Amino acid sequence: MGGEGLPLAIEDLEVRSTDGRVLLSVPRLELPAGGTLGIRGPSGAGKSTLLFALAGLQDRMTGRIRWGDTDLGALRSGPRTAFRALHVGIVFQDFLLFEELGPLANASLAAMYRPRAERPGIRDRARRLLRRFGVDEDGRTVPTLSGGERQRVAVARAMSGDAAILLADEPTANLDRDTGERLLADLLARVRENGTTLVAVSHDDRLLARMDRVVKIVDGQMVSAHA
Amino acid sequence: MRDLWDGLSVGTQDILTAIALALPILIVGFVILRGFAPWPLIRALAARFRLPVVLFVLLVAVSVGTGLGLVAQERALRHGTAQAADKFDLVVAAPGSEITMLMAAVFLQPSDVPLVDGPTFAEVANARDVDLAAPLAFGDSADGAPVVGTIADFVTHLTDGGIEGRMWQETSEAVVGAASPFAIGDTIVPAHGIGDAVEEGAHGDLSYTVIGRMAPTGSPWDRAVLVPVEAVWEAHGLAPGHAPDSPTQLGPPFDPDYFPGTPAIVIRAENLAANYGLRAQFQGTGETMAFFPGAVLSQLYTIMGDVRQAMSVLSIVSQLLVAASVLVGLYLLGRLIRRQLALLRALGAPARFVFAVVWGFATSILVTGAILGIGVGYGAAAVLSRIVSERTDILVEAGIGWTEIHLAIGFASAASMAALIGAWGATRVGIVGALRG
Repeated sequence: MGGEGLPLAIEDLEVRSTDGRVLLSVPRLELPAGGTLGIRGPSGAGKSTLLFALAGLQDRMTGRIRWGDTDLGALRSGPRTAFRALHVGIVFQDFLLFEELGPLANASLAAMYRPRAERPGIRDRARRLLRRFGVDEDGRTVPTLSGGERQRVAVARAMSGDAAILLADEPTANLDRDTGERLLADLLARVRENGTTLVAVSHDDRLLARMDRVVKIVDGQMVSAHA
Repeated sequence: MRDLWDGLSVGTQDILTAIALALPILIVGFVILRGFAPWPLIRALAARFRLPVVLFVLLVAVSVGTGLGLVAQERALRHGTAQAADKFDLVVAAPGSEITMLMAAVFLQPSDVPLVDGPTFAEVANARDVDLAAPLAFGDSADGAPVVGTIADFVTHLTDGGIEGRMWQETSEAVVGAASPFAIGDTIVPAHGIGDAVEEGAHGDLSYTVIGRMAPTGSPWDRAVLVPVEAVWEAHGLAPGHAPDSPTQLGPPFDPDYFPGTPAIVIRAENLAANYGLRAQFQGTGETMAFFPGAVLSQLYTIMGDVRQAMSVLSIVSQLLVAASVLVGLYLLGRLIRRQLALLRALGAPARFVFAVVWGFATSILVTGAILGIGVGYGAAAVLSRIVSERTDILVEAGIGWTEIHLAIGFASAASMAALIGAWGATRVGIVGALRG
């Protein structure tokens, strides 16, 4: 299992569109295990594309994305999915929860397809995370949850697999200021505790200010990288 | 292999066939679902789309049910008519149409048929191996029910001796069928003719007293009024069947010189082989024809068999159409949840898991529909049976048998295999594109 974070090393990464245009180019980017990286930049610049590439979801990709010893670019789709299941947790901008499932079922979704032996662990972690984030674990379905509660369920889902890597796409974008602040605090505390490697795409200065490192992407190019 | 199969009991064959039909769904289900627990998610999807899901299930249930109902009904009709003709081993009549005679003698449908005369009757009645030779006399009715003249032995034969009350002892007494509205002790005034051609009061002040009721036979005879054949002849001013020196005799032997004729003679021989001998003896003599009602019915079933084939094809086509439209509907629902399916892949769920969710969802609907369809089929067959029984007085009891269960399983199996295509399609959706909506 994950737990301890994995270091990231990108070399000559290029993602192209179906017509061959370069959507994203990252010649070199490194992040130590347990490090936190913020990605900022205007809309449509390629931030989400980078995040999807880091998750091994992006097609038409060249170059190398290495998480520890694993080069995602060299893996076929099956092993990439397996890598994701084992090491990567993702938080999406608009939650993407299953509406008819309760908070716990959503947060422990991975138990449905992970091996039987891992299922109790996933459920336990999901339960503990929800408690810690202050979300009632049962009794309610998603439509009755507030935006902040939904996003916390989504974060619990991303972390219930004990992933070494956490990828977050605008995790605070749909939340009001206070809710966003609380979620951020919960998320970061948990990440630091576990030594998880975090990559977060955000416009939110409060979030970016608390990252070890922030890079900016404009028109698919990494234009600044400062520690 | 063939011998091995033929050596099994019918019940074992039915069970094995059912298992064989269910195998595709079981094997595919095992391979796809192994190691996963997708049911909470499938239930959640069903809850989210409950209205279309209920609609799809009902659509499948009704289409499977009507198909099964028709098949069950057709089989019950064959069974019921064969049962009704069971007591009529061999019928001898004047040459003509066997089917017309069958309808008249067994199913009591009024028709004009020529008569067999006295000497011929005597020849038939006195032939070797004849155990029972019963003349039938039609033409009168009482409150719309046919009044049939015959002999006491035939009534006993028809009911296997099951008579409540007693057998007639004189021409003014009648025995009624089990479903007859007349009760023992009632007085029946017969009318001449039957149906639209009825002539009330044509027989003057002739009346019968009901003194017995037959046990149920499951045939139109259950509604008939049975009287001594001599009474019918007398009512029509014909010779009484017996010489004037024995005016009170009822039943055989009849005197050929005083025998007015009968449209049909129902014969029971001492054994099965004798039936064939008698048929050969009286078939195509110029005076008579002889036929086995069972054999004539079989010919009718052959024709009905073609109709059944056509019905089966129609019902299969309608089931295919329903299955196809349900699958198309599911495909459209799948489009609505493609983001969620992509999310599963993004979270690390294997493609097979997404496949399992989509296929499990479709197959649950199809299997539930097929199971409900068995119930619908049972209901449809029961209603149809009741209508047919009421209209024809032939006892038709449709039940759901193995044939229907095999059809339902076959439908579910075949449709779930078609659902594989949709499930495969769901795994081909580009994850990033779907996630970005």
